[in-house]
Parts: sequence; structure tokens; C-alpha cells
Amino acid sequence: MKQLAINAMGLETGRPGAYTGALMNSPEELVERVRRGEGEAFRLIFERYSRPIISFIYDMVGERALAEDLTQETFVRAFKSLSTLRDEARLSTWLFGIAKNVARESLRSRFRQEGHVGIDETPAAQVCDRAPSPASQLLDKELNGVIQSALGALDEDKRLVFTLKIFQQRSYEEIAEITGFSIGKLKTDLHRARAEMRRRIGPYLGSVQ
Amino acid sequence: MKCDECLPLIEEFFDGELDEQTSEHISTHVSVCADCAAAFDALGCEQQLYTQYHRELEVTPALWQAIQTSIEEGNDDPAASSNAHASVVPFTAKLRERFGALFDVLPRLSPALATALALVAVSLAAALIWRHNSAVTPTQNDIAQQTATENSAAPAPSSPTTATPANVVSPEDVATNKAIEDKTDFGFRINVVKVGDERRRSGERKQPNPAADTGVAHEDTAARAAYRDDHPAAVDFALTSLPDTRVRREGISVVGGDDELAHTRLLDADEVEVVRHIQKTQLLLRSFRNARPPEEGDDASRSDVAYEKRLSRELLNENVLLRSDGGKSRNLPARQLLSTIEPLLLDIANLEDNPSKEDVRSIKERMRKMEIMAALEVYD
Repeated sequence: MKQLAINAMGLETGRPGAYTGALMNSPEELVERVRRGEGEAFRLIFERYSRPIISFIYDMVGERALAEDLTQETFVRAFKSLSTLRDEARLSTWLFGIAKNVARESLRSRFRQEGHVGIDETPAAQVCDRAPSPASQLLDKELNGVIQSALGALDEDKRLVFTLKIFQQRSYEEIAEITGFSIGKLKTDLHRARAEMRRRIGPYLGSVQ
Repeated sequence: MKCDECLPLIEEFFDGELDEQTSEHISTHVSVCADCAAAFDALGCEQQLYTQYHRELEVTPALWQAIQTSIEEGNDDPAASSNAHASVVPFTAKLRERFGALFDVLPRLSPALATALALVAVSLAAALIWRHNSAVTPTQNDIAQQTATENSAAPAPSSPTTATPANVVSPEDVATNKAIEDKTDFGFRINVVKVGDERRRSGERKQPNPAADTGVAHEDTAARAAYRDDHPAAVDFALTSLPDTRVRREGISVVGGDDELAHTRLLDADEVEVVRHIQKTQLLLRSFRNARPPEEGDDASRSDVAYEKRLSRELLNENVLLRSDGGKSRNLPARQLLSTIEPLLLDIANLEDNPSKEDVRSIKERMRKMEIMAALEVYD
């Protein structure tokens, strides 16, 4: 897995120190370097945040190819509007905010083109977009499919809050900043999302316990 | 702490979002309450289950290459390069993103407050538009006052080329005027007024205003006459090339368009008076021609033309004056017509109070032979 991550960063192509740099540079420093015109600094930002961003987008849209395209769009937008970032320390939150916008726009565009597709109308196997691989064979495909289909059944706001809290471990304050929701709304949405997810994954909870 | 206080906060406690004091209370309660402890454990189990969720996503070097290419090319629409989801990012989305930073700094408004603000803005805009329109559009009183002001203080133009016409010319007319100027090269400003516009304006000013029509014109009559003498070709060109317009320039007018195409002719301010005189004469002669026959009890050999006599005397004086003016302006058709109708007016004016039918008939016969009514119709 570690090798996979290293390969993904392109470190095998002979750029020693990049991996370490991605972990050690502070967000403020990286942003400052990008503003000074250092393209390499933006690459470090990408390496640091691309995985949580693509996971978040994938949880929102449910399609891997689309998630990759939207991740690309997210980072391109981030690069172009980096001058609007006021608090460099909140780079991560800012990036998630852009990713949220990109994902929601895509969902709305798809909604207009295809109409709403609810979880009850779509089998989990169709919602789960994965190709067989050695790694995935080790995982519980059924559970993954159930979780993903349950996520797809949540409405957009609940899915957004749930994903940010449960999968991305963001604080309420960060979620409010990313989504623009009030704390009260996100608490309500999170509570209802948990309840809905619990109802759908209930049969699998026993196996965990 | 009781369960009904603890359970609503159990998720926040699990998420670590409570303050330290509340967290301690809940922690103490959960340690002694089986139900609340079960709820807390359930959240832990769920979280554990979610951690097993594996998306099997990879951040490939190709993704970074695609981002780098998009940035270098200045193409902020990577979906276009992948063409797999070309429509996922609409143009409005880009606008939202670009203006997103601006709206982030603004306070979030509730839908009701936003609606109320929108209604207030619309109301203000409507009020401003209404006020602007009421300020720009003159009322009939304004028009009357303006006309009175113009009549009482007619401007004295410094030269024929800068004299102001009596009629108000709209911007559209000015634009058309420019085109006509380019076309005709008259050497002075010509105001072009569409016939339809003239009719519309006639609604604003029902009564002819001789002062307004002739006040300016009288002041540069000499200049107009000189111009007509010096530029007969230009005037002829105006007469023949502008059939759909009424061209006026402080006294020189070309009348045309619609039913007036057949007899386009030259008019100046003096001739306007001639035309009015001709119209009144026409009415008089028509009235004379149709004078009622004597009724029973009256003298059958006498006719009642007292009204026509009185009117004829008035018109006779006017006719003499206009005929002499026509001579000055060398308007031969007008002078000839005035000379033709003058004997008729004289005869009618000199009739007895109760003229004999023979006298009346002789005048009518002369009118018929002279085809005077037709001549008047043509001139009008």
C-alpha cells in the first residue's frame, strides 16, 4: 500500500525528497511558494490532498472516472484562484470547499440530464463502480456496495455532511466552513444521515460487534 | 445528568464536539447508564464499519499530468480534455466558483429576508422608473406652457443656418435628418419630420399656431427667398427625391408622402397663410353654392346669403393682402389663384342683403365655368 502511494506520487521517477517535502511543508509555506511561482509546491499540495479530495468527491458522486475528472477540476480551480485564499492555514478546508462546489455542480448537471436516481430504484451492484482487482478481492465487496448505495440514497446535504464527518473526520466548524451550513443544520443533517445509514447497514453492524 | 439530557448529545460527545465540562458529565453518565453506553458503543461500531469502507481509488500520475497540462494551457475545463464528462461543469458553475469568494464574505440571509430585500429592491426600481418617466414625459399643460413661452418670446436667429424651427424634432427625426443632409447637400440644416410623426404631433397641438409657424419664418423671409433664388436646383431635388417626408427648414417645406405624393409642392410660411385663406374661401364658395333656397312664405325670388356676404368681405381684404405678398415671393400659382377668386369674393361681398336668385345664379354659373372649386381643391 505504501508502495502504491509512492508510485502514485511519481517518486519512482527520480525525485528524491518530494515525498518528505509533501509531509513537512506547512500549508502556509506551500501556498506562499506557489504564489511565488514555484510549480513544484503546487505538486506537493496535490500529493498531500489529492487522496482525501478524490475520496470525498467519489463519495459524493459515486463514479470513479467522474471523481477523477472532478478532482482534476478541483485542483485546476484551486491553482487559478489561489490568490483568493485568505487563510493559508485553512488550505485543506478551502480545497474541500472547492471540491464540494465541483461535486455539487456535477450532481446537479447530472440530475438535470438524467433525473434523480434513488437507491431503492437502483441495485447496489450498479451503484458500486469498481473493477475487480487483487486488492478489492480482499475486501468485503458486499459491505462496500451496501455503504455506497446507502450513501447514494442520502440527499445531497446529508451525504455532504456525513461524508465530511464520518469519512474525512472534519470538525463541525470545518464542515460549516466547507458547506456554508449553520452548525444547527449540519448537526440535524448529520443526525438524520446517521440514522438513515444505520437503518441500511444495520444487518452488518452485528458482524462488526 | 439524565438519559434524556445525555442521548441528544451523545453524537456530539462521540464526535468530540462538546466542551470539556459537558463531556465530563456525559462521560460520567455513560459509565453508569447501560442505555446511553449502548448508544455510544453503537456509534463506535458504526464508525468502525465505515472505516472498512474501501473505495479502491488511486491517485495516478496521469491525474497530475492532466492537471499540469490544464494549468499550463490555461484551460480551466479539464472535463473538456477528458471528454468523458464534458458537460459536468457548466459555464454557470465557473461563474459561481469565481464569485464564490465574494459571497463567502457576505452574511448568509434567510430565504424570507432575501425575498423581502428583493421585493424592496424591485419596488425602489419601479418607483425610480415611474418618477423618471413622469419627469421626462411632458403633460399637456407643459406643452401648452411651452408653446405659450415660444410664442411670447420667439428667438431671433443669428443666421438662417442656425434658426430654430417651430416644430419640436425628436432624436429619430434628427437621425433621419442627418441622412437626408448627406443625401441632399442643401447647404443648410433641414429637419425631416415623418408624415406619421407630424400627424401624431398634430394631436398634441390641435389648433394651428400662426405665431409658432410664422414667427421665425417671417424673420428670415429674405434669406429664404434668396436661398430659393440662388439654389433652385436644390429645392427641385428636395421636391422630387423626398416623396415620403416633410422637409422643413424655417419656412421652406416640402410636403409629400402618402396621399400627398401626387402634388408635392413648395410651401413657405406665407404660403401657409395662403393655404388657410384658400381653405376658408373654399368653404365660403361651397356654402354659397349650396345656399338654401327660399322657403315658403319668403320671397321666392330672393335668396338669403347674408352669412356668405359677411364672410366674403373679410376674405376679400385678406385676399388682397395675400395677393400682394404672393407677388413679392414670386409664387405665381398662388398669385394667380388669388387673382381668380378675388372677383368672385368681390361679387359676393357686393350682393344685396336679399339678392335676387338671378344674381346668385350668375355667380354660381361663373364659379362652375371657372372650375374654381377644382382649382381650390388642387391648391389645398
